[in-house]
Amino acid sequence: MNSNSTKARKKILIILTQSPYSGSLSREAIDYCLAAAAFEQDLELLFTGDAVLQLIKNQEPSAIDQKNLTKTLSALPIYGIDKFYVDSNSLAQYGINDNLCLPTIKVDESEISELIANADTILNF
Amino acid sequence: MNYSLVILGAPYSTQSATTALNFTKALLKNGHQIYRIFFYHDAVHNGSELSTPPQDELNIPAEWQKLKKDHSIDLVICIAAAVKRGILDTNEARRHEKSSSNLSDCFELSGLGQLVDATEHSDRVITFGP
Amino acid sequence: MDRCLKFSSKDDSLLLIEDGVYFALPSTLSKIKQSLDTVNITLYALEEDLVARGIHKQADESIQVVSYDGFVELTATHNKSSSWY
Repeated sequence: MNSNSTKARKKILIILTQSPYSGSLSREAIDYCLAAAAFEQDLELLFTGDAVLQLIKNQEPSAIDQKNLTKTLSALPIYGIDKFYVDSNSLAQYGINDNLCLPTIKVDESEISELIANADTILNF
Repeated sequence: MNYSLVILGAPYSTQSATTALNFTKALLKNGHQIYRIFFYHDAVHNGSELSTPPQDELNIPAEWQKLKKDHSIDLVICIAAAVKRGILDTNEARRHEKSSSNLSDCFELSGLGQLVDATEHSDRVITFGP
Repeated sequence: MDRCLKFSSKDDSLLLIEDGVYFALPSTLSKIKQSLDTVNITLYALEEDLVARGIHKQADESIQVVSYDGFVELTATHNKSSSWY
């Protein structure tokens, strides 16, 4: 791992595990991603477990007085973050395979292991 | 080695803050440096000056304050997450026209850029979940 | 827990902390034995959390019990960590 160079960008993997509206953590995770994008960090996002539910289209959280998470997620590519990995097993578990709000890369367990192994730093939200 | 910690749990609601506290103490004991401790999500409550647990319980916010005083650790609380949850320093209290502030002066309210900076400058970043 | 194991790589270490230490009980550990057998990782449990929960003596012998000093050492000797909750 190249941790000594102050010039080389670290590869940061954000592992998301929470559903979109049960609490504020999912939104706060994406806020962090936006900040990281503004500082041009090399960020990859992995949606696994309940986090795949964040990607369902046609959400209308105004019904529960919350802001739409998918709108914020959709802003990430504008800031140069476009590597969205989604756990195919989690998608299958919820019966969601299409109709996602973002272009994503479906990954299986071994591919996820590789993502984790190749990251320099991991943050878990 | 240079460490940064990201803490997500409120004191007393889960074990998160206490685990992080004990880990911090062990880091220092083992000669590591702490670049920054960043409090996000519900962990912003660790910065409250008003926390008053019973005398026979650990005073978690006070423990962080003691670590700050003894070791000059950079304790940063996410300003957006804090203000939303009613943790304000005097500046924010004035800005939002609130009657009082409650952030311990051992903590600094700042933006997510501080967490980004911490990930860039630390050898290890450990998340303590909510 | 299952997911955490399935995403691990060879030579990873898994440290059980907080309520995660209940997986150190032989009966709970046996439920994830299938996932465990497919990965080549070392299992640890945080002593203080085992003691707090009264299960220090019941921890499965395949699990190495470490204190906070050991927790620190694990984070230092591995090039990064991921927290599953």
